[in-house]
Amino acid sequence: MPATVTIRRWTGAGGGPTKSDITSINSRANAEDAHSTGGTSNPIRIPSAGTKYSYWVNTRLSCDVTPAGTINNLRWYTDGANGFGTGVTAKVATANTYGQATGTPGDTGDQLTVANYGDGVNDLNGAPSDAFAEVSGDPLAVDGSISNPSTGDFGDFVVYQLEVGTTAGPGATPTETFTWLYDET
Amino acid sequence: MATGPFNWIAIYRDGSSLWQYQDQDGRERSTEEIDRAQLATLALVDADYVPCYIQHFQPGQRMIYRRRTAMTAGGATTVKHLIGWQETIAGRNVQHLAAVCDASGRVECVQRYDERHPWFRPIEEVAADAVETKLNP
Repeated sequence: MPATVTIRRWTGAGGGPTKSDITSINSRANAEDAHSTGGTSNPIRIPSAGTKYSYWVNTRLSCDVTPAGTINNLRWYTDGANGFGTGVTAKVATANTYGQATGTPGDTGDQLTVANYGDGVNDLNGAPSDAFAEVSGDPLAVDGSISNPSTGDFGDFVVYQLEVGTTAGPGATPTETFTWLYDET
Repeated sequence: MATGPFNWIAIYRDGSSLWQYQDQDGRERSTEEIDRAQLATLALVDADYVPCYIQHFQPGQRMIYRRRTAMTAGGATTVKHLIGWQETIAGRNVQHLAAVCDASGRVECVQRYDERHPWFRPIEEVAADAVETKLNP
């Protein structure tokens, strides 16, 4: 059988992170460093001025059954249309090292920047950009590969964050779908 | 129309063959193990070995093959097989590519890599490839 690949969301401390399989489920971007499909205890506050953030979401591919050859050419994209609603946007970047999401639970995450992520210098590969600019015809390139007989986590992280402005409405936003693409030889 | 999941069978010029699942132990072969210099035909077959797509190669034509997967968190997984060839003719990289949908058996063909089509993003080389350049001429 071809390689078995899953999408994992990493949360928790870098020494022993939790890697939740979100391949077949949704995962909320709340104001907490945790995966949930419907958690409401730590929502992102709607600011009276400025911007509040979700905790950034670290996602990465994992290979549970080794490929016969190689998996490479990793890509990530959105449908190109922001469906989160008024006042909510999303930013995305890739990272070569895991950086735990930080912030104030139930209020806001820290803004996803090179300086705030991981070692503050090199772990995030560049400044985040509009996630909805990453589309199937021009997706986000993600470094990394895995070859037989290896298994486990592979490739860079795709890290995204929701930004909430003053015009956002209360309650859960509509769901957005993000897609990973890879080639197998 | 045959539907997937599709596997490949490589047939060489001397009549011998290499199957994706050839061994009694069920070990899967990689297309990196195909002897590209001797390759005459690459076929995609369904579970009953009914071919859905057959690509013949002339000498000098270099095989292209990737099994491309799109995974949406919380959603569906879609698989397409990119299969075709490229050849350097008078300094030009001439190509033919098909995308075979694993779920439907539908085949889409293009004469060259097309940036506007998400299934034909640049395919990177791997070490065992005889492919010398990326698909984008």
